Amino acid sequence: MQKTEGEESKAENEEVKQVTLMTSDGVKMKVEISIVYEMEIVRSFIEVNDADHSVPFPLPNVSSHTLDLIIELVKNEYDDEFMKTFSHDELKEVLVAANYLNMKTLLDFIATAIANLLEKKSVEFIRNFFNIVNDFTPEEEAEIRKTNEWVFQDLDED
Amino acid sequence: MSFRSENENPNPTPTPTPPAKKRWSDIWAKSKPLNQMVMSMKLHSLSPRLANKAKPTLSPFPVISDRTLLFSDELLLKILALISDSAAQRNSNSLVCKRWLNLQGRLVRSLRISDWNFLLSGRLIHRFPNLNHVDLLSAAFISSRSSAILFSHRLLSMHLDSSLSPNWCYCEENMLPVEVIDNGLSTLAGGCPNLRRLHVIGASEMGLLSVAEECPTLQELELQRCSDNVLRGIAACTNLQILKLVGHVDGFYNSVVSDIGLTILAQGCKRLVKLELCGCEGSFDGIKAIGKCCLMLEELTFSDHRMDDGWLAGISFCENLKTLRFQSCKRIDLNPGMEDYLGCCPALERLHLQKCQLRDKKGASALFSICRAVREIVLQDCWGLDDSIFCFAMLCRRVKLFYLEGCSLLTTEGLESVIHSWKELQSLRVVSCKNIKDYEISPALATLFTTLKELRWSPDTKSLLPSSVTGITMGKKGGKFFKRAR
Repeated sequence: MQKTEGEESKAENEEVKQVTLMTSDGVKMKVEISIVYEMEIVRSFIEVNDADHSVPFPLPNVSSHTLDLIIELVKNEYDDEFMKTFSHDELKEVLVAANYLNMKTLLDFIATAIANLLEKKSVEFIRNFFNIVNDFTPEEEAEIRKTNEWVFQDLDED
Repeated sequence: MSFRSENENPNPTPTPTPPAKKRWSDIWAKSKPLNQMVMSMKLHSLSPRLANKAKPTLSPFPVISDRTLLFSDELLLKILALISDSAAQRNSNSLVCKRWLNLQGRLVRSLRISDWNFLLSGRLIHRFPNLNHVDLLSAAFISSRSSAILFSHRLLSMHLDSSLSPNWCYCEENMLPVEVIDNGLSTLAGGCPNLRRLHVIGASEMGLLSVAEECPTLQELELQRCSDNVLRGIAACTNLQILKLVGHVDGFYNSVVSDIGLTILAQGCKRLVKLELCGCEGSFDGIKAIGKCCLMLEELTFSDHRMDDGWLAGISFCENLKTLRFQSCKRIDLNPGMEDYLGCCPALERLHLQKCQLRDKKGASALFSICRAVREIVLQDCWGLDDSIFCFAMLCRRVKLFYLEGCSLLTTEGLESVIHSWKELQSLRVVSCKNIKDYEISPALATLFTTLKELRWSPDTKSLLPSSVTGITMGKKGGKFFKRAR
């Protein structure tokens, strides 16, 4: 993904502007500026500081694989079918990255996809999906189950 | 001496110095999105440690970290909101971990409680801090959940112990004391500043005042076992728009709302839009007070009313009333007074009578007279409604829509004579009225049917028009339903 100095400046003069991003695993990736603009965190920096686009912008929390997936998703205009091919881990990583990069559209899209996955799933499934640790004591958990069942009910909004 | 301006620098602006090479650390310190980046990086470096803390007996293999620790509450709430469709799902989500319990609770806006202690102990507010609609009716009873006997009414229900003796006033013995209810209300009010809708039974004016003071957004209130005294607290609910008062419920409790209470209500809640009076007493004076003070009142419902005769004329003071409803009333008004003094509701559009006894001619005549401006009449399951009573409906000249259901004394002839007087009729529905026979439809009535925009004709279950009525076919509704007889 790395280019020489001459090629980089030629790339800047071409129609499609690109920004170099440096992922957590040290890979420099050139990304079209239209995609980079969806990343609020990078966009606001570029707009305010008018930085030299050849200097790679560091993304210490996003791996190259995740960034690849994100770029593909955005290029394919948030294709559902493509996203269905993601593993659970990839979904989570994209969610974390979209949150970190502050990409609103992608965030909504991935959040909805994850919500659909978790719908009607058990407590254990959800815990396993996110690797959440159960911090309830058995007594606390029993109390909550009892409360859920006996103490309150839904109210329909008429 | 003149100055030669071209030799001087006219604008003493300093030439811009070349930008110093920016350092990442300077930019990061000042930039807000970058601060967020730093925050989440710090959290990221923490997460393996946190996971380790929870399970100290873990092996030395790298811990799979809990990725949700990197999410802000807002992001997790966004996902939770999308999967919170059913109560079962919400309950399941609340068991994932303490953070999810907390966040899930924040999403809940409306709830029905069945354990008063849950409210009094503060656990309700702690778990559900954003409630705006709360139903406390079933929590106010000391009922044994293990009992299989359910005693229920349209308005409320409770579980009964088989050892109870039948005194038919069950609430007297099985409800929590007033002080306990008031305490609960005070706790609720303190924790739900955005409360909009509340259902409560057995409160006193003190409890009501505490809610009124701390919940300025209260718009809708249901007060069961209400009395004149309790209504003294109502004037403090300045934004109240929808109110339901229940005074007397057969078999459950016997509480009195009279003209005194109605007048206090009228003077306090001038913004009322909808009012429902169930099992309330009162008379002409109380209703007149409401009519004159609650100028925005659009909908008035009487359920099993116990008003004194002569009260009906008070309705004509409700100048903006659009909908008038009677449900389960044993009578309308046995002595409404002279027609000249009845008046009329000028803005009334809808008159609905459900499950009422309409046996009294004077009352029916007075009612239709006051409601002569209505556009829509619905009569469902009204007993005693025969041709001689129904003919008073001719007083309403502007009816556009008429739904008749379950009135078994009315005949086709009686129906027809009234319908012909309704020149503006467009929608007609006749369902389950067993004395209305298809073979009694006259040609004139059939012709009228062809002019209607909407027609549903099923007075009996078979509802097949016999072929002896020429020129009529069953098919589509409205204008295409009937062809003109040749």
